[in-house]
Amino acid sequence: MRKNRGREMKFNLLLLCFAMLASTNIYAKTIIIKGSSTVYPISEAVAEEYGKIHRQARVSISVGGTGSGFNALIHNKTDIVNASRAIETSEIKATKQNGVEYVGFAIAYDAIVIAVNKKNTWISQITVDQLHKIWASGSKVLNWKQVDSSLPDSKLSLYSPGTASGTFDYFTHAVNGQSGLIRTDSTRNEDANVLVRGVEGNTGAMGYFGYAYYVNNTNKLRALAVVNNQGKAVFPSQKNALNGTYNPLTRPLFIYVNVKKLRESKEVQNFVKFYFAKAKDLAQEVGYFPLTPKEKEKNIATLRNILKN
Amino acid sequence: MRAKLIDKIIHILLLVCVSVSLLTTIIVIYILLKESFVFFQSVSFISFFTGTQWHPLLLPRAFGVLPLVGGSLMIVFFSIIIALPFGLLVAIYLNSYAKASVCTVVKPVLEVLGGIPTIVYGYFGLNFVTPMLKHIFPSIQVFNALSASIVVSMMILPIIASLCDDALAALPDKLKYGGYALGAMPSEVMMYILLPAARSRVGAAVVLAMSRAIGETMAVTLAAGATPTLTWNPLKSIQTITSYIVQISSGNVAMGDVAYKTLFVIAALLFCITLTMNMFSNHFLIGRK
Repeated sequence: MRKNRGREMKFNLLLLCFAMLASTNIYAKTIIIKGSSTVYPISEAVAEEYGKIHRQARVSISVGGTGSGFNALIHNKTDIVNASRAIETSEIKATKQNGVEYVGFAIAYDAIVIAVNKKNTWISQITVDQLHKIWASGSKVLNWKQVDSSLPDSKLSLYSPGTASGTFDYFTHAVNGQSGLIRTDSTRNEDANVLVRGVEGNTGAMGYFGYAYYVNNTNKLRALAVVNNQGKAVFPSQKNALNGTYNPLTRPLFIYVNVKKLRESKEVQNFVKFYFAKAKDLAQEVGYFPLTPKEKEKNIATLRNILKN
Repeated sequence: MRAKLIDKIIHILLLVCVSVSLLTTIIVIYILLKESFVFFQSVSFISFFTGTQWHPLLLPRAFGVLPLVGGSLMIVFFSIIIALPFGLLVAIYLNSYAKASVCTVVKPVLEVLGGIPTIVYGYFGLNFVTPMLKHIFPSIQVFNALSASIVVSMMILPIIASLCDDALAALPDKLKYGGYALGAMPSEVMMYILLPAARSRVGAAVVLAMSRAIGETMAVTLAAGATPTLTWNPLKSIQTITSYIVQISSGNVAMGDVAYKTLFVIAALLFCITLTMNMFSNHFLIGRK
């Protein structure tokens, strides 16, 4: 009995060492992506296609909002950040402080959709001023009638991305004039799926999120046309986003890559190159709008320059 | 000689285990208190405990904790209202009326009910309970306190039922037979003799269920919503202490920021509430029997 125990122990120890080695090996190849819920569908589609070609690759994508993605970049906890807004000055300063070098690439365009419930038949267009009236910090608008006296007496419930979301930053900047200012009684969540859930469940609901979350739920939601700076009411669509008429709610989507990881890891390099190649088709498939070929060329040139150094 | 040595080693080993668990508790309390102390240097004590607005991430910041506490208490209140009668009735049935064969089936099924992952309950509340409630209350919001309370009550039902059943079973038989001897019916024996005799343990069971309900995280995060509101209306969306902790932990909060410190203060608050409830339930048990 005692003799076998010794042999068993040695075997177990060997197995444990092997398992630890194997697991560290796999982890070294994992590409970590964090950040925006808006950009998530594109990155997920790219990762899926990438996995079909490179069977050894592991890509782990998580959603926490653009802000949380940049936070992870600052603390060296992620290789790539999904971002639905550009990096802020305070975040740039923090990366300098921590010695983290990054590079940003635009990968698609998005139109933020103002979505209402399918049963909402009383409004089809909205102005930026009306949006500001509804969403301003300290706003007491609780009813559609308060938005415009021609609208029916119906309770208004609001669904917005959370404070970590790039969509939140962009929208509050465009509508309320300052990023971060919004009324406190809106329901906020970094995951856009939850917002879709909220808007589809309440007749008087209004929410805003990326185009992909609207176009994949057209049976549950309706998009409002936004009156642009020329005074024309424009519905969100690929054509209107790319020709600039759907403003101010059209914006580019980015990925930010940790330069050190880019230079060191072949996997990250291949993934980013693959991303540029596939972004046009996959972004459209998912529900966003592609870059122009010139912009794509610029990305590839920037990548080449970085890798040369 | 050797036996004494082994005994001493085992003694020391057990002492180490005990001190590890004690040390963990002390360290947790220390960290919570330390960060809370720093927090209260930038936010006034009074505005924290009496403020009715809670938005630490939006400008202008407000740190009144009452909406969160109100949300948690509302969930506890409504879930106890639903689970207590049902749980007691189940316990009474299992104790006095059910055949042994029925007991052997029902008891494990109850345990399964308590063993379902709470996130499943959350989705159950969101996808099944809320649409059903919409037929009864058309004005109900998608995220609301009532459906969260209903699923939480399903979670604490097994606790109440099995603890009350044990409480009734622990009573001496002579109480029961004395009642029958006087010509009382089973329902009268239960209502006038057994339940009053078991009331301290039933009280302890309720307090235990309450502390489970107040600590419930995933189910309320999914079903109750994320809008801190001070309201008595269960049809509205609210936020509990636990779901606020989830929201902050999964989002973007810079370390050192005041909003990050709120995590510790809130956790300390939850710790105090649960500790008070446990002490209360102990008092029930010790004070009586």
